[in-house]
Amino acid sequence: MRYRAPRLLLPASLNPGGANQGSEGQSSSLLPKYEKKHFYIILGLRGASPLSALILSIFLHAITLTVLILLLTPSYKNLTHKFITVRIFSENIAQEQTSTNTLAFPSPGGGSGGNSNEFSRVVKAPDSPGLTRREDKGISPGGLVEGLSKFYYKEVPYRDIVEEALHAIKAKKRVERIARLRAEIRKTHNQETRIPPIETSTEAQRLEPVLEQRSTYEVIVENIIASNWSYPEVAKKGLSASVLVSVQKDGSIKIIEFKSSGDRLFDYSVKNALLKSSPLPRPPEAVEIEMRFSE
Amino acid sequence: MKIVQKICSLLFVFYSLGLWVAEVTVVILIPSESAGRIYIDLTSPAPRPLLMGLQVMADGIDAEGYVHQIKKVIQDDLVYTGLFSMIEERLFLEPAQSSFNPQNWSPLNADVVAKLSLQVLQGNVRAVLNLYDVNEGTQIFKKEYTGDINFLRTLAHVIARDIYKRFTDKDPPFEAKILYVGEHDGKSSIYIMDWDGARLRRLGIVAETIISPKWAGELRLLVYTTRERDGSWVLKTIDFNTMTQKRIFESKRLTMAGDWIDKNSILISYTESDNQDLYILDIEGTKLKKLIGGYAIEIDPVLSPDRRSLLFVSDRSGSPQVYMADISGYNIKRLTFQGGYNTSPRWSPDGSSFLYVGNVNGKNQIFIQKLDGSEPVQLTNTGNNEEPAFSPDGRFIAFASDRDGQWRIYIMRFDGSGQRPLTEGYGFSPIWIK
Repeated sequence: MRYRAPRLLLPASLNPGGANQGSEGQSSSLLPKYEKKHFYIILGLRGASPLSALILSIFLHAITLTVLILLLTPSYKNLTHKFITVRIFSENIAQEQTSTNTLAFPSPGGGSGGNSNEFSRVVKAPDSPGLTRREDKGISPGGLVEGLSKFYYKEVPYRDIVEEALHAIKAKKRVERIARLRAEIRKTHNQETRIPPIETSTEAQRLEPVLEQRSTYEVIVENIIASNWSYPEVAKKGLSASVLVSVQKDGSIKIIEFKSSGDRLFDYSVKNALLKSSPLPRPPEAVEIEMRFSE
Repeated sequence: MKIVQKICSLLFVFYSLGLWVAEVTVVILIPSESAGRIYIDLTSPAPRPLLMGLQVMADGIDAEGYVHQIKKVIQDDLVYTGLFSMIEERLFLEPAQSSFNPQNWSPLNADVVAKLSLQVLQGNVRAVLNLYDVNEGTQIFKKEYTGDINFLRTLAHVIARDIYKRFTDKDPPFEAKILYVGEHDGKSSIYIMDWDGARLRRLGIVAETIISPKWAGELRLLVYTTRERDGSWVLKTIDFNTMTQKRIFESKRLTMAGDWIDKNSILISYTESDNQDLYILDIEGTKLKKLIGGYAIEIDPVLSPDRRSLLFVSDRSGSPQVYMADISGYNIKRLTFQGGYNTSPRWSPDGSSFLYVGNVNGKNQIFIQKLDGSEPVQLTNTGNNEEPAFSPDGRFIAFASDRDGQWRIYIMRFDGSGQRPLTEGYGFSPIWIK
């Protein structure tokens, strides 16, 4: 006997199908409420069989995968052997820093005494994307590395691209050399600085293939802030504070969130470390840094 | 069968839909790798105190004579805490009278600048303190103080306290005083001085022997033990509110005052039968209640800051060691296990540790030990060092040392650093009073 699926949309009691009446009537008397509730929930599956359900799911999976592939890999779309796309970190990489100390920091309440909580105020930078990124649904093609948009859809002669790439690499090396020299100078003020050799990122990757690959900028920032952080020897130990900052394109530091250590002197030392380090070298792109200071 | 079939098909649909929904959800929730977040972990800050530029200026000729003194008191107070360091005046780029400009101070690596102006008029001093944060480039506060010129040192300690408190949110002991037993005309007498050793004064009390002074905090009562010519032991109290003295107990047998419990009861060690035991003395009724005793010697009872326990010395194990008990006298626990002669226990203000005196290679040294069972730490190692006493904020220890040939009052930081003498003449049994 050909199997006939139950009529999912209609309540069993109204099923006009005569052949199965008896058994459906039977089953409806056994589990009437269960059937009715679930039959109403599943819409648009009139006459669905297990097979059609499977086909539907495979179809949906295929659509999802296609959409995902399209969304996640836009950069390989225009790849042909005639033109190359070059990933450039920043159009401004050649410029020197000229900005003065521009740390945007929530200023402590003036007046005598001050509050004990003045360093733990949460400040949302006006254009900050917020602390969580759950709103982002993947990478939007337009918002990727900024310089990329220049080359994304245009066809540019091969020679110009290579020249541009060489120029960018030279400028990047220059910035790194400056940062390295600065770190050297700071080293003489601080006996406890640990400065790893600052090399180009590819070399660093070659030397540390197993460990996490930290970008050059990360290492530079860490060294600068570490060299500016001091705390009295006899002061309270075992403390820890966390800061979330956003570094603007000009290197200025904006505090987004400050989690106090519970000790005023320790918080003060952390705040001073940030003030002395601002402005940082210009980042490849506007970046957020989460820092943990612990003694 | 029909039921099973229905359920199976339901399950199929649920499964396929659910899987798809889960897939999409997972994809959405995978954190994106756009504009990256950098994580930085920093430990081991450079050990360096806050660098301060202190400028004191006289507003008028009358004030000029006091500039040096007030500056020295403030500097000594702040620097001795170990949290501050003073920039040398000859390095200053900005005159004291000029208004604060952070660019004059950041080349010196300064963190704090304090500008104090003094005015003296008809026996009164008026001081205006302006405090600045160099790294922020802003003013922190402005405060005005007035007082009698004879109390200039007190004023300086108050100013130093305000600066200290601003950066640490804690109370320093700058205004505290230290009382100790000294010598006068071959007999014992009681002295009081500032925490830095200045303004030494002698109380008009003289006795053959004065030992074990104990202070009752806010009550401003002092109890001490004396031995009179006939050999009897006498306990006396001084009420610092009225500056009157009272005789509260006497005995032919060895008696020594311990800590105050309240204005009417004192822990004492007393010899009833053949050795010293711990008692609570009721002052009003001159009654004794036995607390801890037995065949062994129990002395030197000190009450915990939360008033729930006490420390004392007992030789019940065969040698003098430090023990702890409830104020009820029960739950006796031995605390010291290193060394064969450990005495003189003293609580830390937060109740987490205690000081004691242990004999090492024939000399008495001061140790600190946490109550959590960790190892004791030796704080002194030159000469004999005894009678330690924590400052109210727990960051300093006053003690007596004979390292220079005679017993003197010394002070050091809680970690044993910064040891230096406070008295020139004989001194013993220092206690902190306010």
